[in-house]
Amino acid sequence: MNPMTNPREHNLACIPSRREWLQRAALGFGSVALTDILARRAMADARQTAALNPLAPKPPNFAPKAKRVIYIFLDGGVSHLDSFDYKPRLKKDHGKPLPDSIRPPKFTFAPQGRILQSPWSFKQYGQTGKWCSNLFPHINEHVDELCFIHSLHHKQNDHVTAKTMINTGHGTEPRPPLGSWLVYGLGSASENLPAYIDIMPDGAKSRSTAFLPNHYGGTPVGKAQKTARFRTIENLERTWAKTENTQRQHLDLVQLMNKEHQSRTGGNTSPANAKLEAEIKNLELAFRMQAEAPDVISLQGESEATQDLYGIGEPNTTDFGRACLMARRFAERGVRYITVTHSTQKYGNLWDQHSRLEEGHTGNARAVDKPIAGLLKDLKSRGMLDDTLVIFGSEFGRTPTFEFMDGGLGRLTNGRDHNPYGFTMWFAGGGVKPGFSYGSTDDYGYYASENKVSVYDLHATILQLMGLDHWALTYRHSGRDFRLTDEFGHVVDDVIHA
Amino acid sequence: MEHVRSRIFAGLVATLCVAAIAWPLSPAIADPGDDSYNWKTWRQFWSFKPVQRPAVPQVKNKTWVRNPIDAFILAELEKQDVTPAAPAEKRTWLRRVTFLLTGLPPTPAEIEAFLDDEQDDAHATVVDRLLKSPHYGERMGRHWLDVVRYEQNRVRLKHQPTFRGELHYRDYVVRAFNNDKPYDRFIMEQIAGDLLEVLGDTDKDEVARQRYFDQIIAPAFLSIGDWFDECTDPNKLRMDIVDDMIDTTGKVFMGLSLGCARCHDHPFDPIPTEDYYALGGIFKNTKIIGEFSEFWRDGRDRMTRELATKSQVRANLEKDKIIDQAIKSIVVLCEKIARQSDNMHRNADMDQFVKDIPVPESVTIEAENFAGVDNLKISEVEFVNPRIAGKDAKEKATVIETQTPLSQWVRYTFRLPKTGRYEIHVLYSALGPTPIEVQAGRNPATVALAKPIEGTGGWGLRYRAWQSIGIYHMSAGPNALRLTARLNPKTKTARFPQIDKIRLVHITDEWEAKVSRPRFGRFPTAAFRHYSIHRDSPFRFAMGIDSAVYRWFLNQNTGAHDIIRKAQAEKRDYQAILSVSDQPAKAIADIPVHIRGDIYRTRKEPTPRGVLRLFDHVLIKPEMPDDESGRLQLAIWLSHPDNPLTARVMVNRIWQWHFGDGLVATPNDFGSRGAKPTHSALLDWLATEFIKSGWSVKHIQKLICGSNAYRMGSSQKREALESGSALRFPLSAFPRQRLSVEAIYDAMLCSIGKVKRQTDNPLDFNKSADRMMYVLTSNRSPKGMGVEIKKMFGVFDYQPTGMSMPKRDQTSTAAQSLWFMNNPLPRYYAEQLATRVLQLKNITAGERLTQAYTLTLGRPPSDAMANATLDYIDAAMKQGASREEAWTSVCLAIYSSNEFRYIE
Repeated sequence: MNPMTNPREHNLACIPSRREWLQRAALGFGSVALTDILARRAMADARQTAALNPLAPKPPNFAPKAKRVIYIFLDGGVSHLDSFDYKPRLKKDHGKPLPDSIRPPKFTFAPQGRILQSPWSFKQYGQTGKWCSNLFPHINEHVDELCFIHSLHHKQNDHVTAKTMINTGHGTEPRPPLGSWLVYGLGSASENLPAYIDIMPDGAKSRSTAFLPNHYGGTPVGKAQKTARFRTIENLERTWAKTENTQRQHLDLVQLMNKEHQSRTGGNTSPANAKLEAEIKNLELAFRMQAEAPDVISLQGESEATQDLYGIGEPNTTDFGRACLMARRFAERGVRYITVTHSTQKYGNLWDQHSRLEEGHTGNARAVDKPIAGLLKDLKSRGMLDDTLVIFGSEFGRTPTFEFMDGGLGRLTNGRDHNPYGFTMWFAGGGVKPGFSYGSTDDYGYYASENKVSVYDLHATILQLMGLDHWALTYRHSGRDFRLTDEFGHVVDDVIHA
Repeated sequence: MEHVRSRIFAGLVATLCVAAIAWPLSPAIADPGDDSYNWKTWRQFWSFKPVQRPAVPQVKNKTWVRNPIDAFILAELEKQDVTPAAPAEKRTWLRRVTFLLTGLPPTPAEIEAFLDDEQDDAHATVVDRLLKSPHYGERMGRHWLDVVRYEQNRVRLKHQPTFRGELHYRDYVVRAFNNDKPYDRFIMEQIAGDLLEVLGDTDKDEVARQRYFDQIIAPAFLSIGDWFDECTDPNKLRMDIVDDMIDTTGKVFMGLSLGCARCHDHPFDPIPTEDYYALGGIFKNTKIIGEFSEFWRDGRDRMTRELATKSQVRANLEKDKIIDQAIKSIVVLCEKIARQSDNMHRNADMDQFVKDIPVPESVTIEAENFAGVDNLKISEVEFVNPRIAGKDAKEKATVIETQTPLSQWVRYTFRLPKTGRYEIHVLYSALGPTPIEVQAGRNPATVALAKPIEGTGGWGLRYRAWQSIGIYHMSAGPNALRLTARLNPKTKTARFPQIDKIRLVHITDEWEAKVSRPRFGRFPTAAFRHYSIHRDSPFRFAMGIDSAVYRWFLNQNTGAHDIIRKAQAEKRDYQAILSVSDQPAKAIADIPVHIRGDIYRTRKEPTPRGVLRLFDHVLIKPEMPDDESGRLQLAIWLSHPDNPLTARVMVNRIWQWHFGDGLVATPNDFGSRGAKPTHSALLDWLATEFIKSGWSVKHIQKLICGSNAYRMGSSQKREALESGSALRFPLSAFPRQRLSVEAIYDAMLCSIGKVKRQTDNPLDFNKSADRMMYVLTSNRSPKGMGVEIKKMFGVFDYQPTGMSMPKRDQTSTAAQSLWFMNNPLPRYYAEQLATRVLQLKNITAGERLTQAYTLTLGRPPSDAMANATLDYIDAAMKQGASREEAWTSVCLAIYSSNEFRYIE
């Protein structure tokens, strides 16, 4: 038996000699494998693991339809009226004021002008004959896979609060985001990777875990508006340690100290030492993550055909294509909740076209359309779409009117204002009905009217698909059992595939 | 009853520094009718009952009892047949008490001194020393700052990006703990410091001045909240701010979540909605932001004031007056020149000509009466017009001007009586040319023009002038006018002229025929000339002063210039602090209940301002004054010794700051959903002791740190563990705790000798500036490490959310391990530490290692560990690492070890 197994067995008499250190240095990877085995063995001890590891997998409330979520978030507010929510009245009434039956809310982000028709042309797509504009031509090819909800609504009229709302269920107070609740509820399904990955997140408040401990938080990979080159997990890459072996030796020294410390403070069987034991395990997890995650991020081993599917290599789509492909790679490796944020100033301010709607939305859509369609196709061909819930949406939609009211002062070049009162999201895979549309907005697409779906309903439904009962998922804080869905929310059963 | 109440309050207001006030228990006041709570039952709830001093229990093992705290704890343990853990080693205890009281590790010298001290009171000596250390206030202050939702850099003022006024509050808190400020006074100052009487001569007496400064700094407690200032609906924002104050006050001082009652009667605690809005009235009448109008993003900055005594503020105002006077004398001269130049452009002939032709009809719009606006704000401006003598000399105007230097526009809607051509005149001032786009008419998109607006030489009424911005065809009926300033593509900013009035002059053909004379003098158009010099004109000609002329006079008139220079030099700059004040007496009003929290659905009758009725059985309801918000009365009610929650909540926090968990595990929730106390008698005993000591925090801490319970080791005996009872039963051993992020950072800092230990109060903030608590605002972070320090906060569980944070999480995550492995920050300190031990002369490698251990862990390494480490160094160097690199990686290993960041 290799003499170096002993130090981890809490026996100080077995501190390696100088010869052994040198030997270990020569052995290199041998010790990595060993640590691995030790760590796994400990993890197998379910009782202890439950106490030590808050991310241990937890049973769902009922059989889940989806095992993981890929949430494609388009930062700013995609116009539902120019994409998937077809409103022929806009063309007909272009340039007229809104009818009296539709009153703009008391305080809008910007003054409202007259009705603006969509600059895009609509036609029917797929077997289901879904009316879509030609804004997202590649996604349109998949309409028969998609489940649209057209009647989403909330009240937060500006980006910060709306983003917080759509991610956390509360607009103005810090609450944990959907992904953190999922990880809190289900634990992690990956041993070597975080359970919740945020690819290129913006720095929004809505990412803070609020009252949930921060191990339920998202691990950011890169940052909004940074290109693929900067896409990595903080502190993941070796910095000072020149080789993996160097780092391993260093960690062995740390673990040696930890074991010594542990033995002085009551041995590793003591429950009071649970915290210390968890730290020791985390160090090993970090080491394994360092070995595995860069590989996921680098997109190593993906065939040219797959890369083409995502538009990697084409100037417009390469960046977001890489992000989407990375999402699939994380999904494959058991990451529970992955967000991919599209947030760029390249075509105007994000997806927030208060002006130059056509220019901005066209540029943005071109960058994401093919990658998203590619992701759907790829997931499907790998048999992953069935248990992966893909979500497409932004914090709100846009108004059917010009930005400016002005008794006719609005100009054709202007864009649309924020509209949280009625907007569209779509879902694919993960147990939703394919080729299905649910709910609707009024004739002008301003307010959700039929089968309205609140953000609470949305969250309740996503939790349901993941096997969690949104009423049962609570966290006690400050005297209150907090829920993602507050005191509201109904599962939208109609969108769930029987 | 009425009489007694008002007398008590009149008395209190006059002598507010009194710690314990004789406030008689009142007989239960009749319940105020229509609410659904069973008050009798609620008032029997453990935390709502008056605090009574319990007897110290008898225990079997009397030798274990060092002070009454031990008796309470041991009594519970004996009931469970659990033996308390064996005492911790001296070294362990010293590390524990030093970290917990100062956030710093003990120095090698302190360790040696304590180990050598074999007196019985060695422990007590250490506690006394630490309680006197000015670093004590930093540690306790940091706890308190968490509780009151303080976050560095959260308080941003749009127009003063460098504002750091909230730091004064931070330093106030540190000072308060160091001075052991009585907790009742501490409450009073934070809630109503600005309303407290100013005692003593603040100009001559340093103590009085500091007390006054504390009073005006402390209420920042109310202002540092995190509300969303860009909320589209200003009315909602106002109530969000009120909610922040209510919720924070409730959680911090009473351990109650009052926020629920914003929308409905509190479902779990006896807080009716009326009580929420009674408190809401108090805070609605408290002013923390400037005037703000209904318009989007207007005036939502937190208010500030100067950190100066009243007479210092007055002195500065005097200087301002002198400066104004001097400027005025120059302006008079300028005006004279300006008039002469006016006259050069007019002559009797023209005057006569204009006089004979009537002024054309016009419509005038005040600039502030717009229909829509973006990035502009309304301002009141004043000007002493030297052309007008006497007391009317002061001219006032309401103008619109740039609020945010981004693309700006303003839109007016108006009706015109007739169809025809209209010439648009604008009365404005602008320093330089400010091009604006003009759109006018019923369908003005077709007539959009970019129009240069000339500079008038400066901003303000003094430079106000009329300008014509073109002639537009408009039809009778509703019309619109829109003025837009676009972003300058180069500077990425936009500027709007400061506009006072707009007039639309109807130009008819007949009128034009009459005035068609080729020469308009200096006036661009006939209509403009007419309005400028016509005697019957409804507008007086307002001519700007050329700023070049003004500057010339300033230089010529050395007398005035000297006066201005001197006054300016004598004016003193004071630091800005956050300002909290009451609304003006006239504006004080109650607010009604908002039905389901909806600001647009309120009850008809306002709810009288007041406090929670929950304690009507123990405390007299304070009477709310008509001319003040009532914060003072609230503060008195809160800090009253008979308030059942105040002392309990605070001693529980203090306990938690020592043992990691409070006796009540939910420090911000003493309501029905919160945890029950594990040792309720001990909690009440401490609460009474707290009040008896004059609300002395240090007194309670001295008791805690002096107890045997605090000396227990953190490992229980195996038998106790196996029976399971120890696990279930708290306080049978000292709970192991991970250091807070600040302590981890500061411990690294200490190991390289960067924290100058201070022994005397008051704390010298400069000497502490490297510590994590200050480093981001003191600009003392090591080069390039600022970003990493910022990120480190989040990695180790400091993630402020803008809400009261009663307890930090102590998570252990792989992200933390990665941080130690690869982040440049710990590596940086490891390098420094390696350099430090390598610089030591004439010692062996083993001795160097002992040094590294002592500076970090406060102990030498074991022989086995020392050998292993030295072997590691040799091995690393054999593989090509330099000596420095090898030692750096050893130092990094020590930082990464559990022992470094856990206290036993």
